[in-house]
Amino acid sequence: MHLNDNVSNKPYPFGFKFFACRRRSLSSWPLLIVLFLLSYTARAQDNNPLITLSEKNVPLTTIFSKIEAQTSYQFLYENKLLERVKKVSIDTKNMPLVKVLELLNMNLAKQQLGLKIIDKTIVLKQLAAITPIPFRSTGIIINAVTKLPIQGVTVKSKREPYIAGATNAEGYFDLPGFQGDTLIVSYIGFETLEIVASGSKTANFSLKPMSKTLDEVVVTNGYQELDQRTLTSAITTLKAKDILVPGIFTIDQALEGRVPGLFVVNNSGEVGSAPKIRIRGTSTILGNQDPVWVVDGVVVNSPLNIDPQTVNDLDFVNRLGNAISGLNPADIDEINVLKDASATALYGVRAANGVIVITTKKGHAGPPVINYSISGTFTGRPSYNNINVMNSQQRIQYSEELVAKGLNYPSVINYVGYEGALHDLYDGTTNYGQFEQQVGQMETRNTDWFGAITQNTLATQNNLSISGGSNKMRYFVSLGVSDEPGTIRGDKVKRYTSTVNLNADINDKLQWNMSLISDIDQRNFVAQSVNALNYAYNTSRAIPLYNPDGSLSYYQRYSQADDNYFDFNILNEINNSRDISNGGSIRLNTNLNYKISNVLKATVLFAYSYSNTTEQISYGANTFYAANLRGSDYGVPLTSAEQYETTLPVGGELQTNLTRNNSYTVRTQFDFNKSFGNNNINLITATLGGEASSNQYTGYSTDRRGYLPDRGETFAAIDPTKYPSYAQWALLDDADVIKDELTNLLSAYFTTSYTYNSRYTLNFNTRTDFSNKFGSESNSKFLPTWSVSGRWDMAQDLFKDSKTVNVLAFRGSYGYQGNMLDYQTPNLIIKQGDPDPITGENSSTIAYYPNPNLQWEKTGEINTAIDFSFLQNKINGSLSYFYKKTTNAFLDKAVSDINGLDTYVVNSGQLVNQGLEVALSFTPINGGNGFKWRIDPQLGEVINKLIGNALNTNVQNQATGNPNTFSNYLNGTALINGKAINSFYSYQFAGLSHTNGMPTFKNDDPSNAALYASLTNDQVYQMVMQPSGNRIPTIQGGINNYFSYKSVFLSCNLTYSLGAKVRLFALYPDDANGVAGNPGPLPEENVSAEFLKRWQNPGDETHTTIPALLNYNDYVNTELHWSYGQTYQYANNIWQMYDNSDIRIVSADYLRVSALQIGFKIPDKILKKWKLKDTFISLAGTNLFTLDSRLLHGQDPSQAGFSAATQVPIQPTYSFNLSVSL
Amino acid sequence: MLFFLPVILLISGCKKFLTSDSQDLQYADTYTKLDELLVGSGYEQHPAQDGAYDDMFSTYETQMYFPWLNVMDDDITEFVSGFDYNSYGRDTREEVFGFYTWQSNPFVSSSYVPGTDDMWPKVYTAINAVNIIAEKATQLNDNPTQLRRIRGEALFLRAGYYFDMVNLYAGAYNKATAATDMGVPLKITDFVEDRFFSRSTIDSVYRQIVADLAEAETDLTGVTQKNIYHADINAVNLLQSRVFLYMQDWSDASTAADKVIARKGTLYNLAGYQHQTSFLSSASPEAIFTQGGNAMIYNMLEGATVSFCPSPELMNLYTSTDLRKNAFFELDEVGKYRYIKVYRSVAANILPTETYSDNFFLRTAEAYLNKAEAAAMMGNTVAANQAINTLRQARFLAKDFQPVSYSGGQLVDFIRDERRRELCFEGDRWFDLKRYAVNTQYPFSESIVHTYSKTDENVAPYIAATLTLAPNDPAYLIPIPAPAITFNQGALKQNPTRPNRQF
Repeated sequence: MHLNDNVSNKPYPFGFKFFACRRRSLSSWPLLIVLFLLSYTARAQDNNPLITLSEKNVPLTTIFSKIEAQTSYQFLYENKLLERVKKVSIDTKNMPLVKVLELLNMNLAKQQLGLKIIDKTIVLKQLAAITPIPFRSTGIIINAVTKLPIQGVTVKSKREPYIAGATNAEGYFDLPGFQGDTLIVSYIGFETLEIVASGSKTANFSLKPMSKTLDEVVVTNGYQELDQRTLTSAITTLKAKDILVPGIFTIDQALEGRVPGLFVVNNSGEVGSAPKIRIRGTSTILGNQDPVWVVDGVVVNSPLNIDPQTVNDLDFVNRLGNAISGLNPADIDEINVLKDASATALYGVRAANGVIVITTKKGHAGPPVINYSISGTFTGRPSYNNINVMNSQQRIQYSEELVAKGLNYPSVINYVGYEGALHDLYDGTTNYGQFEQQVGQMETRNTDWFGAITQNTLATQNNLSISGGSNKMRYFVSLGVSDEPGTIRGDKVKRYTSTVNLNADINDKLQWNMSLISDIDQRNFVAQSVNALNYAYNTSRAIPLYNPDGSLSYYQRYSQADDNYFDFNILNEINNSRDISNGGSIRLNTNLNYKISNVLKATVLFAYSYSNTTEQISYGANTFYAANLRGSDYGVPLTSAEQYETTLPVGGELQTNLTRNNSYTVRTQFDFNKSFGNNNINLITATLGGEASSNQYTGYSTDRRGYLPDRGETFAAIDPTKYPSYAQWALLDDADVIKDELTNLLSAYFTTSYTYNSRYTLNFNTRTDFSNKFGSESNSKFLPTWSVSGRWDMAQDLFKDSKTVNVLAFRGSYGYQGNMLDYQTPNLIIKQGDPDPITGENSSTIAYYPNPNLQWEKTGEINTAIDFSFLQNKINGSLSYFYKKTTNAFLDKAVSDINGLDTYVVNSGQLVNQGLEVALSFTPINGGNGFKWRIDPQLGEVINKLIGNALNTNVQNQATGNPNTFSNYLNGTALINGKAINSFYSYQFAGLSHTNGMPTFKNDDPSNAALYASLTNDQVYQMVMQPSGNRIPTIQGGINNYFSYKSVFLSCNLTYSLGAKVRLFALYPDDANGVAGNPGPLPEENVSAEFLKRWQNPGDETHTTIPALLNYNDYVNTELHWSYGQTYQYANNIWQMYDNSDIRIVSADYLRVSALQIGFKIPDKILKKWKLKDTFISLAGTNLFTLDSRLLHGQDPSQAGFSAATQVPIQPTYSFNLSVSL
Repeated sequence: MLFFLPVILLISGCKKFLTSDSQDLQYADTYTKLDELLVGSGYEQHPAQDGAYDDMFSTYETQMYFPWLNVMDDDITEFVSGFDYNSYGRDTREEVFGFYTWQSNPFVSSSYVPGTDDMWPKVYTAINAVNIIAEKATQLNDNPTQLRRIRGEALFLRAGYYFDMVNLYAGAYNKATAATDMGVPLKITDFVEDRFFSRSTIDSVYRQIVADLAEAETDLTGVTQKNIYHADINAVNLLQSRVFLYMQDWSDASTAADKVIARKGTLYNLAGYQHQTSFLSSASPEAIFTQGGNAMIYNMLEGATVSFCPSPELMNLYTSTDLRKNAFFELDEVGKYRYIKVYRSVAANILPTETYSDNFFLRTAEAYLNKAEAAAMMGNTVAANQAINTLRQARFLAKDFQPVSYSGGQLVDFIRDERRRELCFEGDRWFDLKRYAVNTQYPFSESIVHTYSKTDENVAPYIAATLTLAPNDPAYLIPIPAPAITFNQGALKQNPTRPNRQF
């Protein structure tokens, strides 16, 4: 209480006044004098006399006199006050005076009166007389270090009624209250401060930042909030605002190089495609290798159910989006990446590949803060500048030589380009003069396929959010629109998002949170079968795109399916072959928290999500695709024979795939948190919860022909008798497919930890799941996931009070997870089939053989780490090592076909993943208001190894018994003992032949036939091929720099990736039949400019590795490899071998400027004029520069060259961003 | 209380919540599901013949069982009358080229592109299905009567599959050496055995067949046959009599045949045969059981100029009054006798709606033939002649029928010829030739000659090869598939190398 300040102009400066008592009537004496006098007169009495009273319904004065009679105390009161007191009863026996007064005070409290001993006088005073003077506490909160005002600081009065507010952008606060109120000032990351505001509007209060170490931050694993100071698990926490730069449209793109141990593999730069993420390696072979995504504590499912084998395929481009594609990155507050077993144990078996927990933004108490941001992102298209293919003239010359050599093409040939002109000359359509003229035109044509097929794009992102609220209720609402055109002409992804987050404190005990996140997702692509970019890469520039009159120029392209030629123009295909997907999702997440007592809290959570994705793939009647089915060119009437054969008589085709996802989670959780002992030195926390979740995919696929998109999107009526083949297709072959897949999961989890003296922490987690999957009825029914972990804060023991070592903590964890495959049970599972065609009896087939001996796949993981902070927190970081071993790994083992099946899932593999992770953060320069530089290097290394101990592998380096094929070896899907998953092999190039420049390979001689026949296939493959490395990098990391000087900031994020290898694009791509290794390019195809350096004359083999053009006889002999048809066949032909040989392997190591941003905060003076708050503009670029192997010849390291389809390279983007707050 | 509500709801709904769910997958935990499995995976599938096209053999071939079984023996020969311009020289010999010409790898194409044996894994898949069904039928108990029937059918099927496999991939049952002769790998367990398999002896395979049939006989006693596509006790007894015949166990063969004759002795009297109908049909009084498809209607395709036809040797066995000649064969538009046991004609627009196998059609006629042979071997000439005459009576018009009466080797020869006349192109001749060679009393073997003609546009067809299959030729055994040999790493032994007949 501050009663005595500031007496000047107030009539009654004291809290209360004294008036007459019974004996003496006093006028308005100053209190202190009265007290002084009274205390002086009553000095000699004993201190706490015992009182005996037995009064019923007597006036207060009666009691006063009785007490006076028994003691030396006297009562002092104002008569006016006594009028308010009703009659009082009291019954005491030898009770100390203090106690008696307490009893009386309880009676008097209602009248706002109280008795108080002041020396030897007992004063009856009016409590309400404290009525303070209305007052406005004002001031400015500044950062003690930077001396800059802080926005959003909570300022709250210490006494009831609690009044709270927040500072504005100038750090200014203004709270109603009373003179002298104590205010509590708090802000995340700063020490809490108590102040008494003077009322001065300019008074500064400094808030000291908390020591900026790893501590203080509360991290979440989705189920609990964990104090980082006692954290025992491997969790990396990122603030979304630190990693997001304009030009990034989904959060997964922003994770590259930010989290040690989290590898991002971008296999395509196509708009909307999701990157592949691996956390701490690959710990399962047959199961899904992706991490689990969690938003606000609830696992989110992908809108589409793609099977694990497809998702795991490194060449699979997921352009329909993953679980978090619909989430606006601007709505994300924080990302926690859970890496070790201790962190993920609470998620059970699903989480063996790590968990990424996203927390969305919440509102803070205070006046509404409106934020609007707009960004525009420019992406340049790929062009011939960095692509190594021939121009028209080179290509024509190449053809001339092909013809001169008499090289026979495959029997299918399109007469276009040089060959076409020559054909016309030969059959007399043209004369030599015309021929020369045509060739001359072609040589200078240089069609810009990239210009025609790809486009420069400008993507935009608009986000509007409002947040704020009162102490009791806080809100965050946001709307977002992003419009992202793709570099392939016609590709576009549009997304509309909205988020509502409400947090309400209903009363002291009950708290309610609700969030509603919804999105609409529109994706418009060129149908995948068109493979537009491939066309740009591989089409001869001598072929025209347009006719001289400006119309599209068509040529006859070979169709393998129909063994025929049809008109083709790529722009016509792009425009009329569309893959349009419309998706929408809504996620509701609500929970109630109830504080049962100070130590026990209960939570009920309910989350529901619904998503709907409709993908429509359409082909117009004028497409090559339709011509293929129809059997005739567009507009050419069908002959009667064709009518009989055609499966598409009229119009085009429309394929519709609809997928709905419905899922819900219900969770009840109890949290216990108790400290005890001296100074609360022991802390026990525990969480017990139960959860039911259900996830259902339903949908259907249809395929309809006769589609007339330009005639009101109708379907033509087709007479089945006139078109019997179509009728057969429509009635028999084209069955609609309905999908229905339901996964229910019932789980219980428990976690507890004990901390002593905030130095030693021990933690235990466990969870068990029961599901409705067929695999759940496995042999060993019950296998919980569990982990133990601990932390020792060594600095407190060893470096107490050290100025150099601020934090030094050791963390360790061990955890154990089991995994069961769906459908592998000791029971027979049958698949219901069609009724028997003749008897009509129901029939079923065996879907899954009983697998009674299958055990759980078990993964044990050790994680050790040291967290440190040195030199007054200038250097922070952590160093981790993990060792993850999967035993009993599921492998498809080959078994004798006498068992009725070829492969069978067995527990025969072991997978080891180990690695080092380094996360550092330096602040070399921290000049207060001036220059600041922070640098955070990250490094993650993961080494993966498969140890197969399958039956009878007594031969060293034998495969695990898996049915590996030679293409498995070449594309990195073979499973080989002692090799990392995704290792791939290549043929061993042995130089070009001196005689004809043909490529030769080691151990590739027909004289080996007898030897190879006596070996297993794997042994043969390993003789003719050698390991080339891995498709997944072993080291990935990033270096993040942040500079700021006054209101300008610059951030620069470098990412690097080491250890992966890629193949160069094939020199001999697939032929028209899809067979790899086509030595004679079709006239329409372009060829790599590498051929300019090809072998021409004997002796060239010393300085070139590019094979020669063979003469006809030699060429024919190379069409089929000599091992063709043998059980050990290991190649298609030498051209396919050449493309897959070791000289076509290049390191995919890169160092990339993945993000660069320069921002400028608008000075406050200007902002004030416009009534704005926190406003900044920034320029950003992503993927601006990549340092990679020069042997890639312009190929992007993300373009792996393993599959026939060429993926869009990662392109640089340039963005402008403006963010305004009101 | 609110907080416990979800928990309570969950625990009470727990069982339903966690019931295994899938769109089309089920645990095989009731007899109806085992029954469905028997139909879908146990029995050989019979592809529907929609008949819209006449060149669908290659489409159906993958669905058929042993489509090449009837092209290796002396009942068949090629028919080449010239290049077929209408069908661009379509050659129905192509699909079975390696079998007809007894190539060292019979699964080779006519251009010697090696193919793989798809039948071995297919049959072993079926064997494993019936292994599982037979075992599962003993574990379930929701309907003991039906489960007993299911087990009986499954065991019958297992016997049938092993009978085919041992006769194709191994030699005939030779009493003297059967205990050591290599048969086929025997796998009768219901679980996957992750081991290297070796070949069981012919004797043990036969003993398994006999045991399975014996149990099937018990299980199927008193069971009414659902339809011709389900095995019943007659099917079991008929197969038993055939198996015993092959084992030269004459008395058991005779007993089993008698059981069939006693129960279902009526024969299809060909006097009532209508042209352009199928002899093999469920309407036939002698039809007992069938499974699988029919490749013969494609092998001797109507109107095909490059195709197969019955060998003159076979056709010469029929006397002019033998009704079988015209009930089994028809002279088509290009002048060849073609197979019509299942009648199919695009020209006459007659397409079969049901499927009757060309290698697994059990019918009463065989019971008479088995009976006759067993009796003849046991020296019971009267019974043998009686059985053969009963059959022949149904194969001739009453006015043309003349009972026979032979004895000794003559009788045996006549029964063997009668068997050929009656059961041609039903999957018997190849096996019969093999077993006649090891017959202890009346061994018989011959050389088979197959010609192979080339046809090209603008060139008259010419005979490119005349091939001979000598007695005891290694080509009597289908080679064990290479993948099985490789996989089992030496444990599984290959048959003697078949001579290379490349031309």
